[in-house]
Amino acid sequence: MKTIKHVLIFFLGIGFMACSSDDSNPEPDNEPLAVEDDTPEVTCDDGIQNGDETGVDCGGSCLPCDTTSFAVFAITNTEDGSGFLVPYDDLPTGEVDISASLENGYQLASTRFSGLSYGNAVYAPANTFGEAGVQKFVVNASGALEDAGFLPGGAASVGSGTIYGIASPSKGYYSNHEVNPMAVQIFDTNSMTRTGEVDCSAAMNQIVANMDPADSDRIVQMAVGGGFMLERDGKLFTQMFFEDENFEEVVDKTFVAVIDVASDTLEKVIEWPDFIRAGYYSCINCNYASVGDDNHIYLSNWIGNFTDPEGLVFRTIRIKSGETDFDTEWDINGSRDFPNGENFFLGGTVANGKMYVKMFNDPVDPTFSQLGEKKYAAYEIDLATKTPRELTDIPIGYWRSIHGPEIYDDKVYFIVENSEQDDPNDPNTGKYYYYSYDPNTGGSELAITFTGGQPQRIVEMQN
Amino acid sequence: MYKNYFAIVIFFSGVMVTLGQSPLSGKVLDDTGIPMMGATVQLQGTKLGVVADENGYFKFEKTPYGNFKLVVSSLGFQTKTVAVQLKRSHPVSLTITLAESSEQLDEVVVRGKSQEQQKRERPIKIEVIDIAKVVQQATSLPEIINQISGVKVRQSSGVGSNTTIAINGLQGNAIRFFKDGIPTDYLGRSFDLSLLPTGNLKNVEIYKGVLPIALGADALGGAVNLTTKEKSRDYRSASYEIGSFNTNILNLGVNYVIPKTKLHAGVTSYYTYTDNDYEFTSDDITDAFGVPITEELTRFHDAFRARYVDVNFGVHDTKWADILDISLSYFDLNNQVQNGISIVQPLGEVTQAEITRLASFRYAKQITPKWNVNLFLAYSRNDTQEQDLAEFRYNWFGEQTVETPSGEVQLRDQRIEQDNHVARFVARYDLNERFNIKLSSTYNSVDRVGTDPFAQENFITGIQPITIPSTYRKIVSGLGIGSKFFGQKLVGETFVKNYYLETESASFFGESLTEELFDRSFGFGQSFKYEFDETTYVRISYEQATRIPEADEYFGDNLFLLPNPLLIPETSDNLNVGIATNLNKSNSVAVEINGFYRDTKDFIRIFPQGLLFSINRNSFTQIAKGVEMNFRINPSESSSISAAITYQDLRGKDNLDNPNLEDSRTPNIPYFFTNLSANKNFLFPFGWDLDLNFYGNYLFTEQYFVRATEKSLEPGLFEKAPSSVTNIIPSQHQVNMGVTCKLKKIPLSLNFEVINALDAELYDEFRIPKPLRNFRLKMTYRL
Repeated sequence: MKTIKHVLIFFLGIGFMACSSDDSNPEPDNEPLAVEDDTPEVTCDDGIQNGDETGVDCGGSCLPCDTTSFAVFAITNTEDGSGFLVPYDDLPTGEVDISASLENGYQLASTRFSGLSYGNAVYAPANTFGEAGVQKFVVNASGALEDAGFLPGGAASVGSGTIYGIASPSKGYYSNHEVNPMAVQIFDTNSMTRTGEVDCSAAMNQIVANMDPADSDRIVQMAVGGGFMLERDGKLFTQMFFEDENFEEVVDKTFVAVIDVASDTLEKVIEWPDFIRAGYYSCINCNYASVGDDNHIYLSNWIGNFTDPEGLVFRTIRIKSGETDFDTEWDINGSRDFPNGENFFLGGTVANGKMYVKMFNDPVDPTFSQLGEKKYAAYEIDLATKTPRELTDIPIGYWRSIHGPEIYDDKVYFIVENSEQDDPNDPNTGKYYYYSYDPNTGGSELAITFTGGQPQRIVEMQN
Repeated sequence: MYKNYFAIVIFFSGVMVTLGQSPLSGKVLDDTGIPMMGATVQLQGTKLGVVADENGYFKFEKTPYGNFKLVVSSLGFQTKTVAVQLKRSHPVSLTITLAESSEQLDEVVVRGKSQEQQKRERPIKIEVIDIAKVVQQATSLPEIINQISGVKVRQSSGVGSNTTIAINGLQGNAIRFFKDGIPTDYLGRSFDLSLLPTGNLKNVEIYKGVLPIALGADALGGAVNLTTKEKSRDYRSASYEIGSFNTNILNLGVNYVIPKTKLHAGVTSYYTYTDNDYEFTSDDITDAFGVPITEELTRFHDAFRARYVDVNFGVHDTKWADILDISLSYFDLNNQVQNGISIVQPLGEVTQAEITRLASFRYAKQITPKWNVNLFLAYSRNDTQEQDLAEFRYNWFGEQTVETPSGEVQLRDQRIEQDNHVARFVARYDLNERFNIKLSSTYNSVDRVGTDPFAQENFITGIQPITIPSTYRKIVSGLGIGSKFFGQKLVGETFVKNYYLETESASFFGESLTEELFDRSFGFGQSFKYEFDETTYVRISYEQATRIPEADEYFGDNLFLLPNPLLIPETSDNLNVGIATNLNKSNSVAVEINGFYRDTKDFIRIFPQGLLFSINRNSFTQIAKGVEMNFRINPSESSSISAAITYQDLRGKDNLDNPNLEDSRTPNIPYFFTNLSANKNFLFPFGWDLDLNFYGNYLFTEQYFVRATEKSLEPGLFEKAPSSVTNIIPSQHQVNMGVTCKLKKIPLSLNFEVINALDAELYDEFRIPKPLRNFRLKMTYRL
């Protein structure tokens, strides 16, 4: 089944980057906002920042400032996947020409796999030249993005490459398998320097010791810190891999390390009796692993071992809020739960008891030759009944961006790429649409039309 | 009489490289026996005239038959008239000695044109580098070529690393290489510009835009034709060069004409070895924890060795063959690979090796005074090996860092066997003094198959694509009519070409084992040159051309270049206009201005594919406009200064996938570059019998974008780029200088050269730092 890997490589253009990164929480921990005072200062409308204001006429004892801003990872040259990270004060709406804002942006050699935000910073999975690692950007006083430090992820990667996650305003984790494949690296997000590592080698060696020798003897590399890296309630969750010479897991299990953030120690390793590449295959920050609004961690993918007899199938498992073990009572398995053979989904954002994905709306034949077809639809999956519902008022599109839907302002944003790129007469050529779905009303509408670049992911920053 | 017969200079000049047999040739010497370069030789009563070359040799491409007078003259010498009888199949060779004239020089001096000058003035834009002038220098061929306007050779790092040449803004395979007019695809890496010794070369000809029929190939941007020395003359040359980074280069070129026979035999050989362990610094490199490494790093896995030997033998000037030559060659190469396209990740064990064996046959005959035919056949076999079997990765200190089960780039132990066949036929028929017809057809075939235990399979068929035989067949044919009007002031060539392509190569993703591609197309062109007077001319050429991708573009290079079996040929409209004139009466200041316009559809470019790989792909239309200027000043007989300036605007059009990049500059190609060179000869004082030649070159390349970037973000010339654009190759200033010391009594010379004298930071197209200041010393023996 190395063959399946090829089709994925083909469709994903995996060569765009040798690394990947964490699909960590797209909704960063919000800083506490200033609380409105009952007796506001009269200077709240004088057009200058004074008193205890944290911005001009806002914050402190005035009304809270609009503290969010956004940045869009956009491919501006689809031929090599290069593009820009472009900052916006507000969530873009209507027609937005990305190329009009590039002066404030930052060029990225590889934009296919995009970054995540935490606080007022964006963390991209590669530097401007495309070298894998953790690249921090902040918006400077003149509104332009600037390089705020880079930590290399190293050339070696196990699982799906260099992954990172931010745990607190000053602390983050990342993997650099060239430094130590059996440890999670710790870094200071302010200075962007490595401060240490969480060694997981003893636990990993113990897992190997407990394996059937027929399995353990086939291990050629093992590593922690691949697939995804998510912090929740003081614990960092990330995947462990034990691979044979074909980069397949030697046992059909998903191993997740649970690290205590306060003590930087490995608390335990939890197991799920089926291997999935949580956080997708070589996709970085793609939202296939996420913390839902119910505070559960959802780990999704349709890829396990390429030699799995069940093939590629939609699977989601979870770790419930307040727990550090898998929820053994619950999972989604597309071939078991989906009535119409839907598969090949992108995403896994969870809100209001629903999971939102983009998904192929037809059964896929074994050659996967249809994957390039215009058949990707927006879906809402009910987590209780595990049934998918196609959101039919959102147009069908192609699979070009590899990122899943995102939630902004309580609405789910689906990207729709439906242009026939080789047809100069197609009115959609050069346009990339975001449709917003309101779970409260059940309605969808065209929210953003991007031109001048192919958006990959929008991240929200707290200033 | 035949013994000194130099007439068969087969590959004498660009357009008619292989077409002319000369029934009349000779040598002009002064009364002390020194060859008189530039002496003019005219056949009285005809319009035929030629100029002696640097060795005093002259020849007539063709002559009428009968009794004639030859008028030989040179500035400052008495004109001499010699009677000659010219008969069919009776070549004549003469040695003519001119005595110094005591007369005052005329005010108006008409200079003879050297062969090189004549070639420069052909209707098709061609630049000629006379190798005799630079052969003693340690300067490598890429650096010599870089001194021409509109031409840019880029080498990725040190000696032996790959070179790419850009002519008028097109580069890579859009430029064709020829050796004596034969496409060099079959020669493998042995023909790499950076390896070729200059000792056995006569000229380097750079064709810009339109190619003459005789070259018979498909190219869009032009061509480089290296002409080797004639086989009908004895020569011996040997040189040894040592340079920084343990570089050793040995060249040998011998041709021997067996006395009193028409047999010749020769040997050409080179040996190049270098450790390439140069030091560099790079802002891009950090330690594993992100701390910048500011100290100098040393390349540690970049040694390169190439060996080449060619033995040839044959006959010349017989009744049945003007030249018949058989050549057998062997080439091998061993190369350590230090990096992919990124400097950040060094490679410590990846290696490449190649062995090429080849045999070729060349035949030319002036069948009648009007008919000339030329045939070339070659077979070569390339065996290449790529290995990436490292168990560890490396850092820039040469230390192993971490185990890798997948090699450093991609686990491989790849062996490729490739068979190449070339056949070329060229014929020329002179209808009359005004018109001639040329016919040319070139056939190329490549058959490739390989093995690699680690290669991935096609995802559906389960078969390793590398093990499936790939084939490539190409035929390019042309028919042209040459014409001369207005007393030869207007020279033109009209031609049509036919392109045929058939390839079958392994499919990486599809259900079928292979992908097949078939293409047939036509092209045409026209070129003119009008000479106002001896020094002023206008030339214009237009071609609707097709470029068929080369086998490597379809098959990949099995290392960093991925295959693309579905590339389609690119087509273009090319227009070149040039004007040249001298600016003063003494002709010591000359200027040449050329402009080009090219509209290329399905433009093929190499795209980076991740950090290590690249792939050839058809992209959208490219419009190239450019202007190049050459100034030459000769303040005195012993010194010269020249400046070449190129500005080219290469922009994408109809970019459907990325309308935001409409009209943006084609990335990764320099768009403004200049070269300033000066040299001066001295006679060594104190009565020593030494000639000294000091020379220097300053090459400037303006910054350019690595990636396609919106036009709105482009800085103007010499302006700073916006801070948001970071993938830039910065402006580069390179100064090379040297001195050549030539002994007068023995044919020995010694050259010392400093490369990158300013210790400037220089980069290749992927920001790989090139060597800082380094040195070369070369000793040349030439007879």
